[in-house]
Parts: sequence; structure tokens; C-alpha cells
Amino acid sequence: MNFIWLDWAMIVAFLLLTTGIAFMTRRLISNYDSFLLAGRSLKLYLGMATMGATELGLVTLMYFSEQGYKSGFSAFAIGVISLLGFVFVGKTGFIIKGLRDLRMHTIAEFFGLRYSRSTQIVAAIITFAAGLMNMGLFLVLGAKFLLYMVGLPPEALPYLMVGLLLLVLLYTVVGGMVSVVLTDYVQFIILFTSVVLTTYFAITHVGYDALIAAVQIEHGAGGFDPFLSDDLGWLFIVWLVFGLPFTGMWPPALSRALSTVDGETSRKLYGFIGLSFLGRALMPMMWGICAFAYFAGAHAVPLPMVDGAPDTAAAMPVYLSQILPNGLRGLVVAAALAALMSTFDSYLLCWSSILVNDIVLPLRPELKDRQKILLTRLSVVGCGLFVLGWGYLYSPPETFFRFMAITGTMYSASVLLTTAMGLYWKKANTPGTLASLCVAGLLPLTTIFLDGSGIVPPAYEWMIEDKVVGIATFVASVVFIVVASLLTQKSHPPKVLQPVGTGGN
Amino acid sequence: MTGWQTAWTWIFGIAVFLFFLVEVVVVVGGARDIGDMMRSLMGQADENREES
Repeated sequence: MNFIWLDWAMIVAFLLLTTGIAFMTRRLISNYDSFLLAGRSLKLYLGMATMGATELGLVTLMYFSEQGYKSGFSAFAIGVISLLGFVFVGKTGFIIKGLRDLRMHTIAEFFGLRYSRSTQIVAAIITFAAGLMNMGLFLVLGAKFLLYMVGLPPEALPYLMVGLLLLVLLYTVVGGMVSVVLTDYVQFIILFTSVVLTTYFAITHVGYDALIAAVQIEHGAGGFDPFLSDDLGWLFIVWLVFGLPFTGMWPPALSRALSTVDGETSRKLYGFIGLSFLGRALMPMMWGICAFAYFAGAHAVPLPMVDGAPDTAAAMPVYLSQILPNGLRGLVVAAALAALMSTFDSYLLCWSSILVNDIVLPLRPELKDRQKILLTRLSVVGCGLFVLGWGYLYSPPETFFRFMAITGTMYSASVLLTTAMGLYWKKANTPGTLASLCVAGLLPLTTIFLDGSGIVPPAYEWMIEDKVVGIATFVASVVFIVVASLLTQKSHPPKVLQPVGTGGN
Repeated sequence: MTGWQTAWTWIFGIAVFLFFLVEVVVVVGGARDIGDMMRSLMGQADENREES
């Protein structure tokens, strides 16, 4: 066990604070809007806090550090592309301003308005499926971090997963978006402070020159040049660039933009918080690189093994557990819990709202606010249980980040790309959108389920690599929506939408 | 250091600075926004109670 009483005290204080906030905000939930979108009363800085906390999850720290461990400094290219994406969205308001001006609750709702009810349901199902698979690794990665940081035996992993799930379910179900927003603010402070402090300790323990030397010896030029990297390479960079216009539009982040007071605040939100996204990627990657240099040295503890191979995802937490001073270790674990909870609660609430708003409500529009809240709470529990099972059963063929990227492509190349077409291309119609949604929703499943399974002959394995499938998905999606829309303009004339208002609630 | 090594070192420094800057701005501004949000939600809750 790596913990002393001071570390435990910090964690208990943090848990009491966040669950207390959730219970105190119950009386503010007066209708469905206040449960799901905090009454659309989110202003800029609080919006930034909640989006920053949501998008900096424990899973983010884990997958970025693993990527840094495996790719060295080349992994930094991912953070730079992410920053460019946020700058683009922040400057142009691409997609987010249009959706906020139309007063959408969720992105799939736009499909119902612009196309048809069946298109809304298809878009919602794809979003829901991609989101659940993506979220499926949150619990297992979060539990692994805690396991190695605290120094618990490996047999404790499933119990930790269940415990974390129960904790998140408790205050998400009770408080809805208001409690999520308020706890996000507290979590933002703890989380951002801990990330900066941990980065300082991680680098100073190994030494910056030693880091560079270790990466140079192991990876050569590919450890610094992403185009020469064995793990990444130019195909991977092209794939990420294709997704650049859709940066930060995963539904939980979008729900923050839709909760703001107006469309202009949504746009500013992306512009400002995007500035922190470079650090959000690069600092945990640096922890991974530090862990790499540490385990390459002679005085390291052994790296845990999984199925006979080193568990690269465990490198960062094991390293931090060895080098952080007492007290700070507890603060970092409290921050990690904050990161896990702020991300997990928002994601649970988001997928549940998609299930209710975009799949159930189009079929049962007569549901009252109370029934909708109850249904959303039940689906929060259902999604949580699914995540628990998926975390046990699935292990990605490449790194965890690359699994996140391919499930992200499943959503962005289908739902986001067709949303953009619907907002900015007048000829986009229902058949074109449905064709694009189906092809882009299904193609990524080939790499998710077939890559590494041994089913595909070795000569054709390159075809199901995530990089190839990711690029093919974007290209196919554009081709299908353009061609199918143009071919069916007469039989299915496109609808034109007008914004509800330029500002206000 | 090679060109890539120097570039990544600078970019990393900028990333840490921006991250810290955003934290300070959000913590200060967010405290004010919380007050506004609570007032707005309490107003909505009162209105809904009166309607029902």
C-alpha cells in the first residue's frame, strides 16, 4: 500500500464535498430543462469550467500517457491538431453556433427537424452506440489508475470498478446537470492544479535531458517526428486532420455548448477552453514519456504484466506512485477521482438524454417531464451497467487512444459530418443523410471488432487498420451524402431551417 | 537538440502556460457565474411552483 492517512483524508474530504453538492441541488430541479441543461443558464466561465472538467477525464490522462509512453514526443502532434481544431471551431462557430441558435437539446434532435423522424432515430442510435463503446473503457482505465496509485492487489480491480460506478451513479441520478455543473467547478480546480503539480514532479524526477536521451535511444528520429513514428505515421496524421473541424464535439461537450445562454457564448466557450486542450494532451503524454524513461533506467520497480506483455497503460500510475511525495499522492488520486466523475457523470447523462430525447420521445411524444426525468435516470443506470460489462470483455487492438479515435470517427464522420452538411449545404436531404449515416456508422466496426481477431487473412489486414478505416470512413461519408442527395433532389426536396432567435433563452 | 526536439520543448512550455492561464481565469470568472446560475434556477423553480 502506497498511501498514508493524509492521502486518505484528502480523498474522503473530496468525496464528501461533491456528493454533498449533488444532494443540495435537488431542490433546483423543477423541470426537464433544469435537469438536463441546467435551465440553459450556463454563462461563459462556468461553461468553461464544466467543459474543461468534463473533457479532462481520468481516461484522458490514461490514454494520453499511454500514447506518450509508446510514441514518445511524436504523440504531441495529437495535441497540436486538437488545439488547431478548437481554434477553428472557436473562430467560426462551426456547427455549434448553428445548433444553439436552433435551440436543440441534442444533436440528433437536429436530424428530426432538418430531415425526418427516422433519420433522427438512426443518428441517435449511431451516436449512442459509438458513445457507449467509447465510454466502455472509462471504468477499467480509471480503476487501473487507482489500483496502481494506491498500491492495491490486482484482484481488487473488479471491486474498484463497481465502487466507482456506484459513486458516479449516485450523484448523476440525484442531481442531473445542475449538480454536474457545480461539482465540475470544484473538480476543475482540483484537477487542473494537480495536473500542473504532477507534471513538475514527473519531469524533475527523471530530468528533461534524460527524457530526450531515452526517447532518442529507443525510438530514434520517430520518437520526435510524428511522420516517421512507427506507431503513428503520416496516415495517422491525415486521419486526425480529417477530424479536425469536429474537434470537441463529442455530445457531452456539445451539451455544454447547448446549455449556454446564447450561440455567441457557445462559440466563445470553444475558443477559450480550447487553449487549455494543448496542455490537456501534452502534460499526461509527458507523464507517459517520463514513465518510459524511468522504466528504461536501472532503478525502476518492475512494470506490471498483462497476458505476458508489459501493461503500458499501467506505466504512468506506477511511476507516479513511486515518485510523488505523501499528501500530493492523495491530492492526485482525489483529482483523478474528480476527473473520472466529472467525465463519467456527464457522459452518462448525455447518452441517456440521447436515448430519451431522440429514440424514445419521437415514438412516445406524450411523455410528461416527470416521466422523462425518471426514464433518463433509469437509462443512466442501464448505461453504467453496460460500461461495467464492456470494460471486462473488450480490449482494444492498439493503444487506448486509438480506440477512442476510431469510436470518435464512427460518430464524427457520420453524425457530425451530416449535421454540418445539413447546416451549410442546402441540397442535403434525407436519403443522402441516411446513406452517409449508415456507411460511416458501420465502417469503423470493422476495425473495432475484426482488427487483431485473426479472422482476416494477413495479406488483407492493412485494410482493417484503424488509420485506413478512419480515412475511408470520412471519404465514404462525404461521397454518399453528396451523391445520394443530388440523385434524389426531386423525390425528396430538402427542408430549409430558420434559427429560432439570435440570442436570449 | 534537433529541430523537432526544440519545437516540442517550446510547444510544451506554451501548453503548460496556457493551461495554467485558463485555470486562473475560469476559477475567478466561474465563481461569479455560479451565483448568477443559482439565482436563475431558483427563479425558474419558483415560477414552476406558482404555475402548478
